[in-house]
Amino acid sequence: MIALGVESTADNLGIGIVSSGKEVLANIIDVHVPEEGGIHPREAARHHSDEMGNAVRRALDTAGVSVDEIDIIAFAQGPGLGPCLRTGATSARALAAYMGKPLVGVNHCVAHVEVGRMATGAEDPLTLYVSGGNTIVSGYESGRYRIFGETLDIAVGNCLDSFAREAGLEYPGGPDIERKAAAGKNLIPLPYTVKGMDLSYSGLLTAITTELHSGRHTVEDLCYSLQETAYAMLGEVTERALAHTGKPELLLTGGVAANKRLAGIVRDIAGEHGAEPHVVPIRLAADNGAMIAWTGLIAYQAGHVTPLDASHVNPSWRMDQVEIPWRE
Amino acid sequence: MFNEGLIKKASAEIHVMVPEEVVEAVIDALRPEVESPSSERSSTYVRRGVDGIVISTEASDTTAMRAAVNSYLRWIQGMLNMLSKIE
Amino acid sequence: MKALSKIRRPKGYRHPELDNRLRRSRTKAEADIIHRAKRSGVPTPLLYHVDPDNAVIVMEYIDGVKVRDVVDMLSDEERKELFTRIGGYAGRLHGAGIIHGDLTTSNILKQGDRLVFIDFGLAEVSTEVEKRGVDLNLMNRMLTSTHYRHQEELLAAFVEGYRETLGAEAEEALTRMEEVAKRGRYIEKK
Repeated sequence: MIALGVESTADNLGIGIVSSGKEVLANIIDVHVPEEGGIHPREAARHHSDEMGNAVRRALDTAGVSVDEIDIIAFAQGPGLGPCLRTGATSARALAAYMGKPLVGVNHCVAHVEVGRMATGAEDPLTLYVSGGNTIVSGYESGRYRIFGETLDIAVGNCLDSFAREAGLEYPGGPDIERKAAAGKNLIPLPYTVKGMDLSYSGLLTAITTELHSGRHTVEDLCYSLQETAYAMLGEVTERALAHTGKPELLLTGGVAANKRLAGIVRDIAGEHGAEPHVVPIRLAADNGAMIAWTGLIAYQAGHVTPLDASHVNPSWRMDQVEIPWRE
Repeated sequence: MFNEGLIKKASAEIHVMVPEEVVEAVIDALRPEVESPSSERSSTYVRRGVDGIVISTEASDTTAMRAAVNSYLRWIQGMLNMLSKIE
Repeated sequence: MKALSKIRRPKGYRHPELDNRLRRSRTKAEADIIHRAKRSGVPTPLLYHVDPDNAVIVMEYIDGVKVRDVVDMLSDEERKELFTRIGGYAGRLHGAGIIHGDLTTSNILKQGDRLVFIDFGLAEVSTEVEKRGVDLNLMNRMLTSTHYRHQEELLAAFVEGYRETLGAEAEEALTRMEEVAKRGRYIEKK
């Protein structure tokens, strides 16, 4: 069985084609780079509309399949930015209707976890999912992915990207912050905000921006301090959730998973608690279409189909609202 | 001076030529958007027309009008573009 | 008499300066708050010795089990009674100006008939409604994630106990708890 997945929840347009044999036949990612400032939903949506056809064509060519061989059309139904979601949704619906194939709406956060499991072999992980749009610690518990901890305001990736823009760093900000942090030496005291199992990054962003404009610190020290503080917070919440749930594996995914410092922290924590660490490779960890295709496929095999009148996008769809019948 | 405050409503009817073979698919794809609009300030209906699709939008102001019309046209363009490339 | 040394070990993954800062301040805060909690009538381990520079607290060893692990083994009646008691203690804590900060069933031990609150490491001193709401919501969230099977009845029992000991101020905090619950970044669309 072969599924085609459409991902367009934010600035990445992703078209992926995956087989039930867990083969990623194609994973085309076309990133919208905002001209200035952060992501602008309508501009990103326009980009996705303009590039949808090309991306689908490239995916089919890369996979070496014709569109008739696609069995299922999956799409990211939420959460994400409204205009972006709708662009992917309308195209997915049109494709499914035109080809007469079943349509499967997929939760973007669940997809990150499921493709992470598929790619790393982790069976029952506690997952730290960190990206520009999301920061969630989750684990499967009887029928659903429960959210053990999350950000109360902005995602850690958003915090890093915003600082990078403000500091005039290269785009994308995350990797440049990582490079500069490696040359940092002094830890600048910054707000460290963990409330129980939840995190708050807006105070940290305000503070690091203030320190930046004070002119008192090198950009290397700023990047270093920002990373150390932001990631220590993630470490604390993840560690507590791991101790509480006793999961056998710890999975790191999302765009920020590419950061080696964070991956190191995850490995340390996993080691302390006798869990196996897994870091999802970047092509499947960042927003992509293959994860949507894969999750759509397993959902379909478990009997799930999204009828047209239930295919509205849901920009605030929480991952603990999704039934997960394909796991025990 | 033109007082914009007087414009309580704006409406538009746009005809888009769409190949016969994809008309149904495009209308089906737009129906959930018609049913759950992203703004309270506009509502749009989509129906078959001669040679294609007719988009009818009513809005409480011209900004909302432009946003709605832009969205629908963009979605239609995206769909047509994709459907033309899949064979 | 058995004693337990609670040492906030350095976390290897944290920068040493950040690590020391957090360990020291949390050790002092925890000791202070345990004293307060005890004075308000909430069972806590006895403190024998506190050394903030090394992040050590030596306290009474409680030979019991985590409430988290026994919840599923109790009868409905026992479960409800347990959570009514827990709610009652939470009310006392809040009434004494303590925000627990990590109100989960892993942080309450059952020693025979006695319930003991351990781990005040994230606690703070405050009477703010917002903080009480967030505190209560932690227990609420624990009930929806780990103890989801009996979530509604346990929450009701907890709330009843909380109202009993906190009295008039309870309503405000409970209302805020519900608001906080809805406030998660993504709010469910109905």
